Amino acid sequence: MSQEIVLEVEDLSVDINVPSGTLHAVSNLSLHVKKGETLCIVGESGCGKSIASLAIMNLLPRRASLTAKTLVLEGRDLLDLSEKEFANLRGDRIGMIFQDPMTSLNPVFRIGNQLEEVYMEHGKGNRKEARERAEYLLEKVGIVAPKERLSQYPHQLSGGLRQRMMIAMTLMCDPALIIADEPTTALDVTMQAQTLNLLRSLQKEFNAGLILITHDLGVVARMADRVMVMYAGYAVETGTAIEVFDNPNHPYTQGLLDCIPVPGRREPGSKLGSIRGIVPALVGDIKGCTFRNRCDFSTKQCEEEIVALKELSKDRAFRCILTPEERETTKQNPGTTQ
Amino acid sequence: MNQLNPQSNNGNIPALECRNVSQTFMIKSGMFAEKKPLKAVEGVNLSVNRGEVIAIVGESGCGKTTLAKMLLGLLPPTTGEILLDGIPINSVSILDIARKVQPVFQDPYSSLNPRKTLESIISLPLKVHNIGTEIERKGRVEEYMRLVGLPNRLIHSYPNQLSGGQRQRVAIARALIMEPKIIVCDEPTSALDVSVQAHILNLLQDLRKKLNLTYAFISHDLAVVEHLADWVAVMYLGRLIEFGKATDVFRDPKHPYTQALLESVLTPDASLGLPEITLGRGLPNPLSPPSGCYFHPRCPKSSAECSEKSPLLKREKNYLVECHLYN
Amino acid sequence: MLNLTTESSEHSQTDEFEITVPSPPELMKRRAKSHLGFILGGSVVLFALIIAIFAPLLAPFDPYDQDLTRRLVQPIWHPTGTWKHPFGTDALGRDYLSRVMFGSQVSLMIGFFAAIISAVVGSTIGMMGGYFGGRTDNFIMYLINVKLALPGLLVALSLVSVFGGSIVALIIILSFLFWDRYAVVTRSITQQIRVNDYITAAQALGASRARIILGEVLPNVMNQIIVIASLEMAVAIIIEAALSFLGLGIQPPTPSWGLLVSEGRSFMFFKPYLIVLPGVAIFFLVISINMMGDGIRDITAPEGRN
Repeated sequence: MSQEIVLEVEDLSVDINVPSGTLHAVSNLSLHVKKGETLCIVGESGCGKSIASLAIMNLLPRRASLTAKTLVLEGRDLLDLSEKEFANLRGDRIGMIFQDPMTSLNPVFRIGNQLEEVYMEHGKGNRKEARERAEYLLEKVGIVAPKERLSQYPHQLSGGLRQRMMIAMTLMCDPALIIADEPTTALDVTMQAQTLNLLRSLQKEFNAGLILITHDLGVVARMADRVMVMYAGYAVETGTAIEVFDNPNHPYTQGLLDCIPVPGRREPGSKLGSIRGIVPALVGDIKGCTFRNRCDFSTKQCEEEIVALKELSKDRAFRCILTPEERETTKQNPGTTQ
Repeated sequence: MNQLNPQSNNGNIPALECRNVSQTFMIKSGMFAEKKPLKAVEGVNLSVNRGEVIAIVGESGCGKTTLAKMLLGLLPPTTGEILLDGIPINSVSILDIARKVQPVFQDPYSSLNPRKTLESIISLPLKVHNIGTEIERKGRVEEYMRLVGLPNRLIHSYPNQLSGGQRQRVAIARALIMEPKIIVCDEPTSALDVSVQAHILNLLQDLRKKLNLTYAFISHDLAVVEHLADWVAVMYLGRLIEFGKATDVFRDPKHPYTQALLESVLTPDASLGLPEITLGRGLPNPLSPPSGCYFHPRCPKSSAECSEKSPLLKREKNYLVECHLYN
Repeated sequence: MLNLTTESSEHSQTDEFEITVPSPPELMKRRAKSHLGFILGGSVVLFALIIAIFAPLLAPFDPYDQDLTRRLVQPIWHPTGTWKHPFGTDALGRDYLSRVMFGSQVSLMIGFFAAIISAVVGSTIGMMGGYFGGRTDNFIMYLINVKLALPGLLVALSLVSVFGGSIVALIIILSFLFWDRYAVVTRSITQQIRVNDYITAAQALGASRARIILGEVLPNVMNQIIVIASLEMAVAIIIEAALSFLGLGIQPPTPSWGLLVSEGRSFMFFKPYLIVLPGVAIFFLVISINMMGDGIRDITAPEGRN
């Protein structure tokens, strides 16, 4: 069963002008999302995941500039579009869910109003139709008594309900692509699982592509069909969730997995794995691999160049000079370099 | 008063103990309405020995932050007693409390004064308590900076020049510099990246062993709790609904809420999907809590009795649970 | 005391860490160097300050020295002017340059001290209200509201007529006029600062409330206070000039610029220099203080969000 590709991105780079030079926020990023598929972009702060999503939506700050070989949504070339055309796309073909529902909603407008506005602004119908759809979607996201909720204000809802409302708002125009940036980070743990469940089932039902951006590897493992690990602006590993989690190919991915406390996995009282060093400043031209200062396996060559993604199979790639097997031998014979 | 003294105690006085601690705030719930009582913390009993870690777990609104403030001596309990090394907290001055208990907060961006240098921030406890001369203080600051892994050359830098993880280290150095016995950690790594969290947790582990510290570790992240804690206290709407050794609670959680919390933990196992959490969605209003057991509106195992009567606390050696299923 | 080694602990993962962001003081210095308004305004204020401080040494004559044989001599740019009196003389033969120079003392003293006293009083009140909240804050808000309801200038005028127009009296009266602005701003900022964890940390240390307010809150409020102070100083100078012009402020023979303008009024059309010179002095000093104040605001503005 071949699914349609909703979003195709090739060689996306974002540079930002800062006082001390040029910040390479995103470098040579390529990805694609199919209908009904969940792609999780995972990385820590500063890796560029949020900027990448803003780039796709043309919401970059003024000092940022974007270059890409391909940026196509539902067959439409986004690189060509004017801001007005982009504004039409947002909310209609692309829906976005942010981390903090309180600041994404306008506190002075009723919920019904905000939901209906999205629908009508994109010319999908009149107010009556908008209201019906809003009610329908609120019920779908599991909000009891949707009619009453429509006339309430955001502050009258709890955090979990607000996030569900955001999901409903995203679905008003039946988008082809949903971008969710840390949608459950601000929620309580018990709400998190429920909200993610909801997001997943609705995504499947509406057959939308979902890009889920998060730093939480647990969320990634459970939600993702495919995973992209980002570090310092680069994609360092891609693959299906099972491939990446069971067989991480990049030392950073491996390092991250070692860092997380997992119930039952370890002797309590023992240390967590850690990645030494800190994220480098991304300003100016960095020679070589951005991870090398923190990598236990870096070689002389790593200082010279940053390699392209090595494809192991379709949609499975990683960006490292050494293969996992070669790293194993280096571990066993320390001191040997490439 | 029957205490929960773990077996290893041997009659020693616990480092930290709460006896039936409650905190009730009077809240105005409308412009002309009378003030209503908000029971932020209700009847909490727990105890920790020197060198152990007790994790206080719960979601927002469970009262853990209020409990933390009481443990720090910033808020006197409305009823009940808090004892540090057997001495009631309300019988000593805040300065004496400060020498025994110190905090590490969640937000590295708000826990350091942006207009002060690291030296000024870390040496503040010494200044407040009039310890040492100018030079001695600087030496001590440098010593503690090294202890938490900060290069001494950063001593004149400002918080805005540091990363989140480094700021937390500064906060830890500040907390430790007077050699307190108990550290109250309020979600100390929740705002940090995963790799930074690992560093800080390792640091906290190490410091605990080196300095024989006792931690009251507040967290909503059960994976972190399982890694670090000796004892776990689960709170819901101000009440302590389950308490026991971490290994016991994680292996065999008794209270349905604890069970739900554990099921909600998303381990990085890609072969599993999302857990189905069967909690009802009615988050209670703390100003008018549910009748009987506070948890009954959301409980998948509730019965008629649960809405009528409050459950009794079931005590066993080293274990507490408040649920009708075990009465 | 801990018995620790002096080597860096195994936990230091940041040995190679280099600071890439300027500290707040460095940032301010950097901004100050390139801020034209601040430099220009500041230079003029500095110039005025030097003149005011060294007037006794710099002024060619005693400003009170009358010489009725040399009344109303024109300044140097007039065909009959001489270098002996570059600014000419006034109706009583006093050297005008000296009078203008000594006038700067009055303006600066009144402006500076009025700003400082009102800053101290107003900020203290504001910080206390913001920090303590509750009844204290209610009372302080009441005070502020009463003050805001008072017609400032009229109150000043009545107070001046009661207490006379000495420099000290004017300073105190003008301070009374300005304190509320500081109070409102510092109260608001203090309320925001209060919820930060570093305040809770200081409380958990057992720090006294005075120490917290002065040591933790004040450094974060200080920049705003300085901005307000510089702008209020300009206002104070203008009000003093106005009062003195009306005869309600500084009394003759003390040379206040406002008073000089008043004294020169009757000769306005034939000897315009008598009002132009002190008027221009007021203008330049006030505009420079305002430019400097705006500059301070820009320099101390917090960094924008990332």
